[in-house]
Amino acid sequence: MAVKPDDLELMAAIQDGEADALRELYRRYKDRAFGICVRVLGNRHDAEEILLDVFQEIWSRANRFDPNRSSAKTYILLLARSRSIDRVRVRRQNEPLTPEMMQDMTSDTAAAELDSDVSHAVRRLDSVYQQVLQLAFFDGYSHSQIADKLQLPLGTVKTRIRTAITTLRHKLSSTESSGQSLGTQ
Amino acid sequence: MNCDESQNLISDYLLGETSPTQSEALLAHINAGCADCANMMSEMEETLAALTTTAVPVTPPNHLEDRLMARVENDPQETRTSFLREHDWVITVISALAASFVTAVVTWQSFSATHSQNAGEASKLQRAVAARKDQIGALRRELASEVGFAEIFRSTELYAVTFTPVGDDLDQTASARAVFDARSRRLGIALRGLPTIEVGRTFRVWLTDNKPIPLTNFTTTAQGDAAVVVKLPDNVSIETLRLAISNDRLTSKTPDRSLLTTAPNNAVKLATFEWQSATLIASSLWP
Repeated sequence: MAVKPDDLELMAAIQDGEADALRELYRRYKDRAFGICVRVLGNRHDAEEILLDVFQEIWSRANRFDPNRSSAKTYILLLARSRSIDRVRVRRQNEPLTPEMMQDMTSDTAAAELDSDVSHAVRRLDSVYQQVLQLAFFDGYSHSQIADKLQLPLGTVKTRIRTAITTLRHKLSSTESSGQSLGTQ
Repeated sequence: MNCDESQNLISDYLLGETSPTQSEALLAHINAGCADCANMMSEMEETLAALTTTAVPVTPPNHLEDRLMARVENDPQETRTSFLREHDWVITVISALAASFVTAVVTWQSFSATHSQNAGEASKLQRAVAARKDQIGALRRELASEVGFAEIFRSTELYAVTFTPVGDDLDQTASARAVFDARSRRLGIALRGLPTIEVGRTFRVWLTDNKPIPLTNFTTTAQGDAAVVVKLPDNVSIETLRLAISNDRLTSKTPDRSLLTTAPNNAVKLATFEWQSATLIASSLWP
């Protein structure tokens, strides 16, 4: 039986211009990446366009992936989140929400959160940390916008975000060391 | 930048909240070998990636896969320019070699023939070479891996091509020069001063003889510099060559915002003795 190439082998093949490797990587991560796009953007139409942009960028800018810095999975998922946030920010500036988009955003799919170890770890964070993580990471607000929204000094917002990430890291590490899996479905 | 400053910036950087200057300083600190900060960056990045897994996976429509593959079919991949990021003076060397062969030859021949009369000049040259030698030695292996430029620099049938800025924008600072090896048909382009590019866009080299054909995408250093190597199609003549450097949307099918172009009949063939003499100078720089 043929051995399936791992993610790094696929990324290397993509860097060599092999389109089939991109197809395989897309099949491997499309559901997770699309789930992030839907969660951030709140509607499937925009999410489909961003998903295509993300994988096209993985192809056209394959040289930017550095295996010494992060795994292919981390790279793809954070790119999906980042490009979705870019679209949200443009939309906030330019496009009033249509009733259809409002409907989509309140649907179960858009708001749903996976019942995973990571979700549990997030819920164990103090509510002020959960709040800034949600605003900065999934809602795409800049730190200064969060400061305005929460009526807090900018420095406090930055500190809260930093603390939220490091605290979450510790909680995930302790879950990991107690033998539970992380970031899995 | 020290470790405290670096660690205070890492979460901002990962969430896209740092300025280009801050990002550059942070990455310079980490790339200089700070293991603590590199480790913190990696851990924070993995934590944020874990956060993405709280989103429920959703299966996209099947037709998206075909759309993706159709999109990438004719989408050129970006050329690797990482070796230039911290060594932008390399572009100066390439650019100077491409554009100033005659000057270089005269300097070299003058130096060779009359160096006893120009001991002061020779000494100055030697000091300049020595000052660069350590930097050059470290880069030599990296440059050697850039097969495209290496082939061009070995050529004995070489042309120099000059780009001119598009429009009369006084803020336009971009410039480019190119060398073309007629045997391997490889074109090496050294670019300087390109503007900052927005998200979702890329720099692209186009062949504009007839219907525009994209040759390659590329990135720049933080200073807006880049070095790109592309192979020209066999049916393209160097005499009538027309190229454009543009700032495009990733999905653009034609040059979107042209920054630099070449005019036909612009290429100048370099005589073999000129190029060989210039190579001698290059050899003295890359011992």
